[in-house]
Amino acid sequence: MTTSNESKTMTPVVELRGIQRSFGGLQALKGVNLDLLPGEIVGLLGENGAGKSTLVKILTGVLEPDGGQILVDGTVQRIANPRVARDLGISATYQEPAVFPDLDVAENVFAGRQPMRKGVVDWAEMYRRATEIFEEIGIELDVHAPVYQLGIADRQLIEIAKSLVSGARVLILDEPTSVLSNREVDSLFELLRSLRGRGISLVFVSHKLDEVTALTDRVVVLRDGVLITERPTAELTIPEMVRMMCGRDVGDLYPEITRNSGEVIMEVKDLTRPGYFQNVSFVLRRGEILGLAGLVGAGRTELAEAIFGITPAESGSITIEGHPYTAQSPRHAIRCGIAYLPEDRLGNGLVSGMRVPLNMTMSVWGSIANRFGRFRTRVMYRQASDLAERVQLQAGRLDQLTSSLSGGNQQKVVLGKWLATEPRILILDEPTHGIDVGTKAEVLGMVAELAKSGVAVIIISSELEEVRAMSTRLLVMREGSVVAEFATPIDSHLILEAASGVVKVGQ
Amino acid sequence: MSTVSSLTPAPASALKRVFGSGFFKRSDTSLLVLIVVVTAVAAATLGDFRTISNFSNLLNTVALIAIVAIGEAVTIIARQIDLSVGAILGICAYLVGETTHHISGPLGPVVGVAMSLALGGVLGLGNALLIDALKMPAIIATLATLSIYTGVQIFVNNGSQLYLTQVPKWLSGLRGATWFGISTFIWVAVICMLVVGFILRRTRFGRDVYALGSNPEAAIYLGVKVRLRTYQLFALCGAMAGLGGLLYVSQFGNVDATAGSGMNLTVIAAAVVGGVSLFGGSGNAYNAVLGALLLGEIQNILELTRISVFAEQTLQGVAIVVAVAVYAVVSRRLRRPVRREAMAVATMGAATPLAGATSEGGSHE
Repeated sequence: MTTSNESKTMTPVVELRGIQRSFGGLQALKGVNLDLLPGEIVGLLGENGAGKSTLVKILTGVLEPDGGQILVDGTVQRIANPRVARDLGISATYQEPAVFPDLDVAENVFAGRQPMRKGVVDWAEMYRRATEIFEEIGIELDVHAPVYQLGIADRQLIEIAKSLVSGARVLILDEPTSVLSNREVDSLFELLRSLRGRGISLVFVSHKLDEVTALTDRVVVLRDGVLITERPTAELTIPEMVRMMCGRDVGDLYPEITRNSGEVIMEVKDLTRPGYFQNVSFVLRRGEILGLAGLVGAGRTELAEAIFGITPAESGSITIEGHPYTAQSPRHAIRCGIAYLPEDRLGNGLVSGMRVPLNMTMSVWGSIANRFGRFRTRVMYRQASDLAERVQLQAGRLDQLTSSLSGGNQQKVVLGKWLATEPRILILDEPTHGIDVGTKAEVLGMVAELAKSGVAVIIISSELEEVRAMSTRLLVMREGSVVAEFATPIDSHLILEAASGVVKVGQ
Repeated sequence: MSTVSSLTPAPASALKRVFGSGFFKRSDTSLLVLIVVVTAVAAATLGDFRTISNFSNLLNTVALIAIVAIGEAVTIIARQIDLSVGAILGICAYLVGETTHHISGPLGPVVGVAMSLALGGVLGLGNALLIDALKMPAIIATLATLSIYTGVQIFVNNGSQLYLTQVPKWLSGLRGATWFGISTFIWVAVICMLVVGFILRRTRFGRDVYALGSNPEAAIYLGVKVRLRTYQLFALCGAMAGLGGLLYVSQFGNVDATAGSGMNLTVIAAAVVGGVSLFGGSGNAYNAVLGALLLGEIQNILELTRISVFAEQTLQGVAIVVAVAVYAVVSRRLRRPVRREAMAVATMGAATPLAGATSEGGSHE
């Protein structure tokens, strides 16, 4: 790691001076000063709503500041649109890479700036240069492959390569690891470190503090639009970072879980959906939190979707309280007392253009209508406000648009929606994905409470610490099979080894 | 679990290196096989099918559909659509036929071709204007212009009809003319296919068409000139329809107010059946030609077997449904992102045997 001492003598690539930005009456940034130096990785931290994404958008020209100055190489610049930002050498990659799935790898790298010769696109040159840049930064990808064949990790590499060919000197990575598996994260970090070695200034935005600790040189914390601290990473511990982000002690991030598992409520036997998971068997008890650990793509989400009846399994059986249960449709699953918080909150969990009360009561709309089918609005509002209280929803007004809530509060709306059905079995798929630390603790606390009250919970999480701390029992899946079962507490490295297949019998 | 790893891309062949990774996919090959089979079966069972005159007639019809379908294909690749090509074709057919009638000498063909392209292009620009200025979706805008242009067509026709005898000789004779033994219609279609294919593959415009069709938001973010491209796109599509109008005069002789009215669905069907994705981003000029071949052939067979004209319409619709369904199934298989099965913790110390974790054996690999 480069020391911060030597970087202090360098001239910054980008300097932000007193950057302000408001949205309506809300001041998102209240005069932020920040220098980005060549060859360093800055971790940008903050809870949702702290102003991180506004800052990123201002740097990339998506938004313009209301006040303050941006200096690039010591000269004041106005970054009016993304194009100007790119021309100045500032680019960003987002969680979900914006690639062209139908085009091949090389063209994605050169999208919008294909090499031309005699007025026509020079494909040979494009493939040659793409291969060259891949070799240079150590990416192993077939430049001819169409991008729809690639996974998200590879698409992210393409985005990074794209930034480099456009001459980026400042590269902002917004939550780049949230959809990656551990191995992919490792190789991404290796690449980022090599970019740092080439003098590129990197900004790493993430909620994953262990990654911030592992990767960055300097940490910048935003809270309520103000830059709270700016210190070398080595001087900070994770609890300190959490405290600075929240402005308060969150206490332990993970709640105390009660181990009072009762009788078996669900039994899954030999559940198989070829290509996704096979011969999955387990029992679920009342009041327990069953963790499902594994790498991205291990089949956990598909298993949950099969139980909930979205894409049913092809063979195997499920019984609920001793009665055979056929996962035929989500409607049937709900009737049988199952609730499922999907991984893709915005896509599958919410109708984001709808106001909170309608969203929260969606699962029980049938019971809100009277017997002539008239929708009783007042009943809905009453139920919604009860639910909002139960999930500690922090919203300005109850009937605001769901899309205007922070990620954490959106998740609370989803949770509230499912609590309204009084589930006996609650399946949570990545429940804290993209949620700030404070809300995360609240959501997990509610989950622990639910289990204590007798609900059987299944929790799927790629965050090892989370699944380890939250589960009373833990199953590890790999390549569609349950490969291990642990009683908690358990060492994280044992989970990782099982999930990644390091250990095999007879070897 | 070999299903995951087997999807890793095979090394590109030499052809693909020149024409791009989307060139001649497996679905194109199966379509070609289907065309050959249909041709063979029809030739074996239908005496009328295998006559020279039927063949040249069939190929002329196919060429006409193909030319218009190539333009349509470009709009569909860009995730747009043009429902007005039939009306554009009709207007151009009448006006070009009528105008060239008054021009004698070698200037006639030049004026005819230039006028059909220009007139079609201008009508295409009208489509783009609605889409750009009023921010209308293409499907609504061109549905409106279909109606408007059809009205214009009726107006300029003024209830009259253009007869083959009113058409200059070079135009009416185009149908039977050959060049190096091959019908001029086919020459025109092949040239269009090559030119548009080149434009799509080798120009900025062409690449932007794919980018816009594949991920419009990302394209805008990259600075693709969406407005300019929209105008160019619809002008190109309109120009191809105009050229189709020119050939229509020669092929059918009589041009009335309903000329080209059946063309809209046929060319969209040809493009889609030929392998241009209705969802944008993929396809090529030759796909429109393949689709035109199949549809033209089916049309021809239905005429020869004297199955009612209703069957023709219905079959065309069925062909679209089948093509889109096949595409949906194939792409769902294909497009499931291949997650490279990640192996974590390479750096982990010596593996410790796990209690309870050891029941799985090595069979998963």
